[in-house]
This record gives sequence, structure tokens and C-alpha cells, in this order.
Amino acid sequence: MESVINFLNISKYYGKQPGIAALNLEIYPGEVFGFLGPNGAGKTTTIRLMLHLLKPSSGRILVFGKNVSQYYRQIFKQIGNLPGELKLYEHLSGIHYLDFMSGFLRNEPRWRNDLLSAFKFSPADLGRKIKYYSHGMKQKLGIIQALQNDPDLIVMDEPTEGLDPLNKTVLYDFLMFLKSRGKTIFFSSHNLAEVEKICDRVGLVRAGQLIALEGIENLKKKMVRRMEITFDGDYKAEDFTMDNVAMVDRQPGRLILNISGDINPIIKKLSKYKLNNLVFPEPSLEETFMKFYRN
Amino acid sequence: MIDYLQPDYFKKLFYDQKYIILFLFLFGLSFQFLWVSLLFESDIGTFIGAYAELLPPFIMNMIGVKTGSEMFFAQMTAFGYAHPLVLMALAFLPVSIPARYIAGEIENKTFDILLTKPIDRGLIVVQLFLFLVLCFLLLFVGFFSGTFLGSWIFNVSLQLSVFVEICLAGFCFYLSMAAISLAVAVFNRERGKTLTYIISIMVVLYFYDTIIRAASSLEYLVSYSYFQLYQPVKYVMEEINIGNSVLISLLITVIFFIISLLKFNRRDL
Repeated sequence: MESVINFLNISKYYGKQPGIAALNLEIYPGEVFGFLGPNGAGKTTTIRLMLHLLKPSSGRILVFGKNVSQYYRQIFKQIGNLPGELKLYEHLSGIHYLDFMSGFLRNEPRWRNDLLSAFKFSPADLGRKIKYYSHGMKQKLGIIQALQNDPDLIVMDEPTEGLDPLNKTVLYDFLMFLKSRGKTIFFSSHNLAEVEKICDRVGLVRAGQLIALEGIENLKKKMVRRMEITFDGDYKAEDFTMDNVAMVDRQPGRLILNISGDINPIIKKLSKYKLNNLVFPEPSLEETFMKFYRN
Repeated sequence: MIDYLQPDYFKKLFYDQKYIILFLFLFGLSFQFLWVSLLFESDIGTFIGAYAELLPPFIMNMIGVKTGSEMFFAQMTAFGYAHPLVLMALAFLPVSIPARYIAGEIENKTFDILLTKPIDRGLIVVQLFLFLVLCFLLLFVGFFSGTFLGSWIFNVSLQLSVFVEICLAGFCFYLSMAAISLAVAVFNRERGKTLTYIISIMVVLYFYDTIIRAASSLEYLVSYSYFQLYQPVKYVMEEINIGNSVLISLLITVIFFIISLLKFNRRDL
């Protein structure tokens, strides 16, 4: 399968400091790819390189099979972009801004009305100048301008910043709808819950290096899972001493464990005891993520 | 090629600057009209002539006007095209527009969306420059219209073809200033810094011009002064070849415009 985005040994240096170093990464059609990392890890640099806003120090980036630095004008016809640090033309009205941005694409803003109604933008809101918008409204307008022309590749740098939970859900639903239409989504975030929710594959980046690249299901298997057990009576601590188990908290009648990998040996041990309660939530990327960083 | 004709960015520039352009046009028109009316409809012209006789020669050198000449009133009318107020009004656009629309947009990160639309980066530079071309055209049409109206209403005999030439020289001179500013802007990423650099360059060049005009011992440097490319009074006196001024201004414009275009296409945003 031909990739939509292909980073070929891409590096970007700011002086001697690497923004991103020797990145090799392929994103496939119809995929939702989550690009994770803390602030300053190189997420935004990678996105800006892909969007021809930065020139790579070495390497090439192919988008839709074409070199970005040569064919960016053709490539950008199929891209919808929402930058992380969103700045709009504040003196324009909302509708004027959407028309201005859509004007460069020469196709109808197919999803504009759907997005406006999903995000509850009234005609009065659209007629107002952007400088009078709240932070959340600006973010929603930025999302609408990125998605309105039905792009084949959607690039979003921390898109849920400033959105309330309701509007986050609207965005996730719309992205899932676009995914179902075969669109590719490249999504940077440090919000792990949303990555778990919508991404197919995740890349973890630290200090300019891609340190992990996993399908979300595989990553969940590798995840550290927390188990809170309340016993009806006492228990033997040595029953729970295993290679893949760490005791987080140990009290009479209560035990908290961090389990990585196979959970069956623990379940077998637990079957010997009478329990009052067992809390075993969905694995959190947060802890797995922190594990990667600690290492 | 088609993309360069795509007018969206160009239209936005006019939308943003509509009041400023209108104000500058009306200012140019009314200033030149009032200047002609003051000179020819009152005794101020005679008074200025007598007063100028009392001024030290270096001041007159700086202004460039020669008293006692038959052309005194024509010179004074031409001086209206280089009056400090007019210079400031004219310099406003080439100084502020590139700083705002290149360095300012990089600083504000508004280019992060605009330049991920299917437009050539060069389009921004070309259309910005084209916008300045049209602004200067409009301004000099305003200036000339003011002079023409004044001479027509007050029945003053002025050789208007000279004023057309002055407008042409001024138009080319300010275009070169715009190209220099554009080049400064594409090398920067902060609006304030860009403005400081452009203003500093222009102030230094203006001081240099003032000093070499005031000091007769430095007269040999006059040909190497940037501000000598726009000397309306000297055009009236035919002391400077207007064709040379236009050609040199255009050459400067082309060089700095190409630098701007190349740099903007290659730079990180």
C-alpha cells in the first residue's frame, strides 16, 4: 500500500540542537495516526516540516507520493491544516475568514454547513469579527476552516485545546466520519485519552527522536495496567511477587498492583482468595507513556 | 501563472487598508491643491521668496530652491512634492506594509494556515508588491490631480508635463523604497524589529543626503545619495536627468524585489 505521508530520514537542526533527528515514518491511507510527545519533543517541528513551513536540514518528505518542497502547491489542494498555536485574522468576520481560506482551494466548502451546525455557530456569530470571539470559538473556527473543503489528508496539531468536552466529542465524531470516508488523519496531542479514543496507530517522540511506533491495540497490550484488589480477609504478599508485577501499595486486606503484559497468572492467584472488590480499569496510555519516558 | 492572477490575497490587502489608502489619496490631492492655492492666491509666495533671500545658503542648498529665478514659483510648487509632510505620508506605506504583512504575519503565525493553502509562496511577495504599486499610482494621481486642479481653478500657468515627470520619478523612487523594505522584512520574523531596521536605514540615508547637500565640500558625493533619486525641485531646474533617476530607481527595485522573492521562497517560517 502506498503511504500518504512518508518521512525519509528527516532531520531538522536549530543550530546544533536537533528539532527532529533521522525520522523515518510512514502514514497509510485511511489511517488515524496519533503523534504523541511532551512539549518540545519535536511534534510541531515534524508537522511544520511536512507542511513546508520549515525546510529540512536533511532528508525528504513525500506526501501523496510527491516531494513536499517541490510540489507543495499541488499537495496542499488535498490538505486541511489546523496549527497548534492557532492565530486567525482577527479583523475579519468569521464568514469572511472561512470564505478567504476556502477561496484558495477552488472547490466548494462541502462540510461547512454541517460543521457550523455541529459546532453551533449561528449566523450572528459568523458575522462578528474574530477579535470578539472566545478562545474556544476561535478554535472551532480553525477546525471548520481545516475541514470545510473535504481534504484527503487532515493535519491537526493539538486540535482539542480550548474545546469543552461537548465540542471535543463533536470533533471526534466528525473525524471518525471522515475516516469512514477514507480520509487520512495526522493528529498530534499530549491528551492520551483522545488518542486512545480515535487513533489506529501511535508514534511516541522524545527529544527529537521517534522512540516508539505501535498500533493502538498492540500498545494497549504492552500497557501497564493497574489493579486494585480488596480482599475479604488477609492475603500472602509473596503470591503476587512476579516479574511483570509491581506492588504499588500494600495494606492489610488491600493491594494495588501495576501489571504489564499477561494478566492470567495474577487471575489464577486471585482465584484462591475471596474478594470484596476488584478494580481493573481500561489500560491508560498515560502510564505506558510515562514508562517510555522514564526509560 | 494562473495562481499569480488569483486575487484573494490581493483583495484582502485592499480590504485591510481601504481607509488608509483613501486617506492618503485625499491627503495628497488636498495638500497639493492647497499648496498651489497658498502660493498663487496669497502673498505667502512673495513672502517666502523674500524670506528665502535671508536664509543661509546651505539651507537653500538643502531645500534646492533658487531664489530670484524665473522658475521660483514652479520650484516651490515642485517642493510641495518633497515637503516633509508629503515624504512622511509617502514613506508610510513602503515602511509599514512589508513589516506588517511579511514579518508581522510570521510573528503572529497567521502564515501557518495561509501558506498551507495551494498558493505559491512567491504569490505573497508579488501581490504585496503589486498592492504597493497600485497604492503609489493612486497617491501620485492624487498629488498630480491636486496640482492640476489648483493650476486650473486659480488659472496658474505651470508646465504640467514636468509635474507628470516628477510623479513618475517619485513613483519609481517610492517603489524602490518599498522593495528595500520588502527585502528587510523577508529577512526578519518580528514586525517591530523590521520597522526599526527599515526606519533606521531610511533615516541614515536621509541624514547622509542632508549632510552632503548642506556641506559644499561634500558636493561630489551627491550622485551617490539615494535620496537624490527624487528631487522634484531639481527636475524643474533641469539640474538632474529625470530618466536616470527613474532607471536607477527601477534597477534598485528589481534587485531588492528579486532578493525578497528568493529569500521568502527559501526561508523557514
